[in-house]
Amino acid sequence: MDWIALFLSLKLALVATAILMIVTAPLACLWPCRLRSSDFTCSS
Amino acid sequence: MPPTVVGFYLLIVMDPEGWLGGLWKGATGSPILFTFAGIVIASITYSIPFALQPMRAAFEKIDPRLIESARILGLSPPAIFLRVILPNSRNGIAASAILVFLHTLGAFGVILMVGGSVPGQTRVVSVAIYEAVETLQYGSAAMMSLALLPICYIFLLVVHRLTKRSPS
Repeated sequence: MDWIALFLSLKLALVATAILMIVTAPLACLWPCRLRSSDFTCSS
Repeated sequence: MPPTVVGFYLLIVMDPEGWLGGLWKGATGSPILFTFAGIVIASITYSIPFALQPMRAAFEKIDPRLIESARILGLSPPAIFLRVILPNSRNGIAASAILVFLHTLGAFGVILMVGGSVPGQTRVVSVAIYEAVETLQYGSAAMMSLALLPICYIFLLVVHRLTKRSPS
């Protein structure tokens, strides 16, 4: 049983998830252009 | 794209002669390949679609009138994002985070291509299971697989509950 590998996997998953959430949440939000446009119905 | 293909392209880009590898080496003085930072970047690159899709779906389901009201009340775009959009799409964001977490936990091809199998650095559990099977250590492989099962099951259960409860 490789506990270091298991710990490393969990660490990698946590770090990658944290970075992705912080970076992609604003990007995904801008995608439907609700924030950058005055036209609020431009999500389609 | 197949994980090994993504891994191969990342290997080229993250090579000390590649643009990202060169940039990293210039900044830190050490190569990025076969390091923990390298597999973090590879995992992020490979998991982007898994993060974006549920989040986008959650954001698109928000009533535009809420955003319009917030804007009329004078909130700036960052404030609208933090105080209106994020609270109204927390289930979608949580589901997205758990999917990325599980996807990264099970990543194999990309990690092996970019990180190899350096013990304590890049040898994650999926690579360790593969190596245990390769060396006929089925007991060790079974133990590691068994350790992953409850983790994945619990997180999937949470995703299921979050997506089921989502009001939008």
